[in-house]
Amino acid sequence: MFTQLFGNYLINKNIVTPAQLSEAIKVKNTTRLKLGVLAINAEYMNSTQVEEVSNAQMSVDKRFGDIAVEKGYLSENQVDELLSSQKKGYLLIGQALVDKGYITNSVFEEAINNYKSEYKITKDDFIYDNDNDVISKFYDLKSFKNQEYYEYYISLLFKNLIRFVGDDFTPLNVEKINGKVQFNNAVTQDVSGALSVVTAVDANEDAYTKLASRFAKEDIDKINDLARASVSEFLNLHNGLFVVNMSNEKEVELELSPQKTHENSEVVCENAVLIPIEFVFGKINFIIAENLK
Amino acid sequence: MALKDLSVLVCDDSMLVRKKMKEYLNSIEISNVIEACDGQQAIDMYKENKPSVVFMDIVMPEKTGIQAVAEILEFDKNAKVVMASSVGTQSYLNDAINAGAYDFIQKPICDEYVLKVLQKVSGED
Repeated sequence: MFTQLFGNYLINKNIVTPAQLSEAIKVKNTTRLKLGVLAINAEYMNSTQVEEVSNAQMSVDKRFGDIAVEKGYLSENQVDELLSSQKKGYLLIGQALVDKGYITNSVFEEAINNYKSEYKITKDDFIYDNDNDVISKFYDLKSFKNQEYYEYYISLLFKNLIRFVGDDFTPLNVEKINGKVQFNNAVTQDVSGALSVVTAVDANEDAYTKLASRFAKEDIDKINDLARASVSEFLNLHNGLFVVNMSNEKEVELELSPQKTHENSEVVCENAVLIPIEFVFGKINFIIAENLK
Repeated sequence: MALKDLSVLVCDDSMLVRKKMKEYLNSIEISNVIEACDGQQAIDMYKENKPSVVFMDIVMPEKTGIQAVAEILEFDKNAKVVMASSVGTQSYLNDAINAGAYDFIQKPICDEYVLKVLQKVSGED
């Protein structure tokens, strides 16, 4: 989830454009992490030192690690440790952005350090005690009476998207809506009980079709019954896991209604939060509303 | 009864879930598979076909899976109805057990678990 939120951070701080980020996300799985980026992330080297070693590499035929050790920037152990460290998604995005020349090592250094300190993410790993806390730092939902539920819901949504659709998305900033919303192709499902809300997923034809195809693991190239069944089932599955977690962790019993599909219709939302998710294939909007007509 | 001789009724309002379930059952050589898309249809089809096992969603239009289990059990107290739903909350689980459900599978439906349930059913018959 931190990979996706790191993308959100880079866009918000105008460090990269959404198009550049999307390009980096597309190639991240074939990107090879280099020692320089790993050393910056571990705070073993700064970007000036990394540049110096990279420049030295151009005149001598030696590996980055060997030169960094010679110059006393890294120990042999640190090189081994970095080389065997886990391939982290946010680092792959950073590396892809550097490789493509969208950012320099020093911009990456500043971004990763600020990101970690602003969101109090521990240095070694992006492990957080409570994912909802990260959501509450990213998204200001204080004006909603159901703030805690929404933070939990959004945090779980990101995880379920990663699990069932793919990790190549960036969550954009949430918007508060009180009024009309134009649905393109949408599915809604009511949650009732201690939390009474309407949830929705909406997208244009292209993004809807791709979401459907990925979730169903089927070739789907237009909106048909299978596409609608797929998007409906994703929403039902996510909402189902949400109510199960609420029941098991918070002892709150919620119920779900059957889903409804909507096409090209205008609805009125009351106290709604819109969560836009920018996938590499297009934008998917999720909505939680106190009421939706 | 051998696994491949079991007859199965899959009831879910999602045609995707029915399709995936049917593909899996066919892949383990169970060819006698019928489908229903809401609780009422499941009750009617059960009465007509008496399948060895039913996989039943809970949240559905017309009649919920919980209501359908109760009515199927009323008709045949030995019916084996396995809930396969996204809403495995404490209260839905209680309702399902009280209605006489045979087992409960939390979605996403995992093939191995389906197989385990089917093996249990085939061992009892």
